[in-house]
Amino acid sequence: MPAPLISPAEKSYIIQGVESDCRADGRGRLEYRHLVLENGLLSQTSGSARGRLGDSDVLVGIKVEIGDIEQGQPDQGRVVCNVECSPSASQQFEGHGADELNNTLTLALERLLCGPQSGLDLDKLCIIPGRQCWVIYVDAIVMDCAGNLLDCIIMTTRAALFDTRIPKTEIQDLGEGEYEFEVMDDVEDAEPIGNWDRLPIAVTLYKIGDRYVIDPTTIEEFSSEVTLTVGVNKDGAICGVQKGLNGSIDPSLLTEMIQTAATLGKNLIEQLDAKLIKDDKAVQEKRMRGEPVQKLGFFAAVF
Amino acid sequence: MLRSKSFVKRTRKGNVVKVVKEHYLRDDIPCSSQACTICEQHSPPVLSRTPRSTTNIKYPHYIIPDTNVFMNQLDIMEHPAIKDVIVLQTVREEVKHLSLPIYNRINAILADTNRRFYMFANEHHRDTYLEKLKDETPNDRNDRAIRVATQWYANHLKAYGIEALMLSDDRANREKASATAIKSSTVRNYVEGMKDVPELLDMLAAPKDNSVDKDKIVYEEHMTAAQVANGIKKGNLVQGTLNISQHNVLERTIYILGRKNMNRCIQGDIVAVEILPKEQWKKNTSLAVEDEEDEEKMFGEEALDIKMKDADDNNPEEVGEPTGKIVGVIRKKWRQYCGFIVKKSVHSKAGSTAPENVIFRAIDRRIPGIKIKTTQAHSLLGSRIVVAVDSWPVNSVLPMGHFVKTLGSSGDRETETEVLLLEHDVPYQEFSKRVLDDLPIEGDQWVVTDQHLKNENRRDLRHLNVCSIDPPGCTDIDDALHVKPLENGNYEIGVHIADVTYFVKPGQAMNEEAANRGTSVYLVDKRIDMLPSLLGTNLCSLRSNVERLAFSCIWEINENAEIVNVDFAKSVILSKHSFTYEEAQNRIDDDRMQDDVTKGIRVLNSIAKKLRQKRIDRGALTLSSPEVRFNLENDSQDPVDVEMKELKETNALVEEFMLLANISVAEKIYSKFPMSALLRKHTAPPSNNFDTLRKALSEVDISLNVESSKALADSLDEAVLPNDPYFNKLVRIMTTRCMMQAQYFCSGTESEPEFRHYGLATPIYTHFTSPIRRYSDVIVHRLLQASIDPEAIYGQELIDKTKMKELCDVLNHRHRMAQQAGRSSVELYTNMFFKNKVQIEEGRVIRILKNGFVVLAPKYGIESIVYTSKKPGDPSPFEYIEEHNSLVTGDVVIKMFDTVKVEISVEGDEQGMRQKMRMRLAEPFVEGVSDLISLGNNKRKPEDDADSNQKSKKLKE
Repeated sequence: MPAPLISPAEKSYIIQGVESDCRADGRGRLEYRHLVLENGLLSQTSGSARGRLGDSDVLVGIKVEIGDIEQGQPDQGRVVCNVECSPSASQQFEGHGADELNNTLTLALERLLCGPQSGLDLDKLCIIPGRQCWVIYVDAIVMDCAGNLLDCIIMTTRAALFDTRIPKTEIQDLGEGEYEFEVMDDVEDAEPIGNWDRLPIAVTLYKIGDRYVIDPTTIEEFSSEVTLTVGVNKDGAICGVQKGLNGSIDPSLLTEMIQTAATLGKNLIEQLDAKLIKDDKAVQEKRMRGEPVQKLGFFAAVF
Repeated sequence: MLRSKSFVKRTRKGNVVKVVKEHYLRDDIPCSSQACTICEQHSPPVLSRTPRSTTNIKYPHYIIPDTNVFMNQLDIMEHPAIKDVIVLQTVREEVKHLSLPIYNRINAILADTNRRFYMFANEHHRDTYLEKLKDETPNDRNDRAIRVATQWYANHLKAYGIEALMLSDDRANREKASATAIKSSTVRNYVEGMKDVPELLDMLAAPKDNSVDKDKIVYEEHMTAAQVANGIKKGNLVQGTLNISQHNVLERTIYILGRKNMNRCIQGDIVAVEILPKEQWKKNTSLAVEDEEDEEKMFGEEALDIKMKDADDNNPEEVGEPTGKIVGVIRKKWRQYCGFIVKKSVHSKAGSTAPENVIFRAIDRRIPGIKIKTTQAHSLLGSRIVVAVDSWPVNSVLPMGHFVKTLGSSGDRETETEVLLLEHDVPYQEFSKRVLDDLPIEGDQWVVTDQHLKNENRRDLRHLNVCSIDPPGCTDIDDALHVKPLENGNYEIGVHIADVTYFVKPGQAMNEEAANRGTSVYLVDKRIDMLPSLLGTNLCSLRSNVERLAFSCIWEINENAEIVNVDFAKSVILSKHSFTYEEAQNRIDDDRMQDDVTKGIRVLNSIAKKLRQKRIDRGALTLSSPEVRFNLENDSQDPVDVEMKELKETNALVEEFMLLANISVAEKIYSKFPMSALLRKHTAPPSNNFDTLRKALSEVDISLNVESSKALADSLDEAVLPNDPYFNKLVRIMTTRCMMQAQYFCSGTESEPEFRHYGLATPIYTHFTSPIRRYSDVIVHRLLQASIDPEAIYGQELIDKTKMKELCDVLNHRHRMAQQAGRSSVELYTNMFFKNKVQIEEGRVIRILKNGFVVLAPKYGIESIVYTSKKPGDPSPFEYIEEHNSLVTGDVVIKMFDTVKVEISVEGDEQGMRQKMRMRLAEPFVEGVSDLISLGNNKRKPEDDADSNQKSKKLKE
């Protein structure tokens, strides 16, 4: 990725804005942009969601497939992540331009989701111990890139995993230690992923000048020297911390930043969960009455 | 309005895919009631304005059956008394998933406009479409859909005074219906209300949860499908078709002894078998097994089996044949069976109409007895009826079934013919309108025009002296011949075959029908055509003095009957004369006839003789089977005389050229379609097939060399006894029985050495010459056309190896069935001929059994067991001597090939429902065995009730 172009004047304007808690778009330091989150819009997937944070636009599709069990965890399923930035999101993504970013984002997503810190009930994904399990493939596409991508991707992934349904299986004992299983063909019979609500979200703090902000725009990202991504779950527990960029953070500031991220994250999860569950209920009720459920889909935009 | 439906599917690789389909809802789907004025009817409404009411349902109504009604009570729904039925799309789709044959039968009813069945697309109707609720099973959802649709109909038609009645045997469903004021009824309740058609009550399927605890035999539960699949994969279980008392299609025959090991399977089922431990393998067949089975059934058709058993008897030290038990059914092949009600099982008083359980026996003895419930037991006694099997619970010795229909009284010729067609699975219905629509629109006015010559690149052969030679009375003439001397001294000889593929094109309903029928079936008194008679006996038939389209195979052949050149072409011919075999023979013999046609036949005859000699030199077999012809009384069609079929030289003439054409065509299509040519092979019989025959022949100092067909043919020629002119024919008849069946196959599925036709001694063979009566020939015509015409357009069906193989399987099955049906028909007529007759005839012993011997009466071509005791199973004065394979009592010795005199009569069994030929030993006379009717010392009369009933009925007529 070629180095971002930002003039010193622009940069000082941003820094001064952050200093005085009034950013270029009028937000305070710890304010999010407008968030649009909708799940269940790709019918071919096992679960999907689209998230728009300001102008950053991410589509996440989840596919569950039957795979062989990984050695070393004979009674657990697994999660495989992939993030791809669409060339249409930014001119810089054309050709191999997005490769480095793709790798960075994929790795960050995997660090948060693969492992006990994700909180997911991986044991439940096991079908036949030592043989077969469900593999959850998380595919995120970045359709528009306007800052704070990682937070947006993780938030959307979380909503998509909430929407994901895994088909039920029935195991038959063939005797002599042989098992075979059958997949129930009914979609409605499928089960949600266990402990999806234990999934963390990421809150990335961008240090600009001596202060830090959340949810930066592209130009703010360019003005930042160092970032700190903190994974927080619904209990406010820290599930992972990762530093980005070249700058450094004073240890006292680090503690403060983690504290802030935990508070912010917990708050955000509460609001998101409440909204997701409420929406899901409304959808189920509509279907109960036999009414069609219409998705906003790609008409969703910031109003 | 758009909805989407999705489901999860597991792919063959084992992965899971979610399939999403778009689903559109409409508001313009009509109810199709003639009474309705609201709906916009796209096609003429089907349902009557004034539907019926019954004693139980007192208002006019339409019936809306649920899925299980169709699944279990289809025979009732097919009854013509059931009309004005709405088949919901939900129901139809569900049936499609559960059983394709039933689905097809429903479609057949829907297509019949007289039945007034309407398919309501409720899944696409805006008001009746339902989303599946969470935690609702698909079944519940479909039941709900049926209720909603019923409700919709009820509301929709309220103004016209018509109700909608849901028919369901599911109590929960009916209760839910009545909770929302939807009218519903069980099938039983509904049918009881139809007082005008009482037989419907009998057609109710036996309820499944009929607990019959008193039955002692409890079968083992079948394994689940997954267990079976895994077992077969691992090799613990073996898959095969249950083929009772016959050679099995498994690579190795596995015997399944006893009803318990058979575990509720019926002849033809595809089953999984667990092999029993070696200690339980069948060492030798005791006589008891033979007694349990029906001996008559086992010899003849199933000759191989008895022979194997005999062989076992001789070698007590053998390891034995593997035996097994059935642990699961992979696919049930239950069908409807023809048969009769066992008189002994009817306990109620005559005239009673109370429902009672009776036992039904199928004509096919391999089918177990079937329990049915009927109210008309007495009126059904003495009739042939059709019964369907519903279920075979673990705790019931016999399967449960229900009555389907009556065919007619037993012994009646029409009825018995229908029975044998049904039993041999011969499609004998009239051609449907859809099929007849594919005939040329000109009908019998269709003529050959110049267009055929110009546009289709046909050769004009109308100037040639083409003639046909066929049996007398033949109307479907497939083949014609011509010969023309060439300037170089050679001859041009042409075989012209009816061009059926001009009329029967792939994709047509007529083609599908013909492919399904596979072959025409020839019975004594009628012919079941493969193609509609307009084609078979008129437009395709190469009649004389009419221009006809043909597919010609033209050779240049020299004096020594060697083929110089061969050419194939579509053509137009004009047959100058159609001869019978006799006429043609007379022409050859009559020296005064010197016209071109006669000269041509003489040339053909001389070349045919040379061809034949060559063929015999190569080792072709001349076999023989006793074939008879009946002379039928003109109006009653009763047989008045039987005669052996006679063969004339001209038969051989035609046969020879047909063989030549078949071989030439086989070579041609194999060269162009090496992977998918349809060919016919005849495998060499395994030499142990001949063991018994060779042993018997060695008694009269004749050896049979079976190393090759040539050696066999030679030793057959030498098998002559100077003072016994019939002996050679007898040996040939018995050799025929040792042969394998010739079979169609697809060239891509076998290796080239396997192609051999053993009997004809040719490396490659096919069927090309009778497309009017065989579907294989139709395919071969298409293949040949594609081989010779570079511009021919043909579909996948000619090059798809798997499809071709499937077709071969169907054709082989149909072919075998047609042969058996023909034989059964002859048997039926033979029995009729001997009815009320007792005749003493000369016969030859062709097999020795422990408790009897088999006699062939050459005059009638019939054979039967002669028991060496009064009744089968009784002690016999005869003793079986194993080393000479003979039966001895006092100074009377019965051994193979002996000439004896037997008394032939036809008897019914104790129920009078099965007619069978019975032979008794008349000469040499043996006290206690020769229990002759003609001598009056037989207490059992040959005719019992059924017979005399039959007679009195005839008198009335």
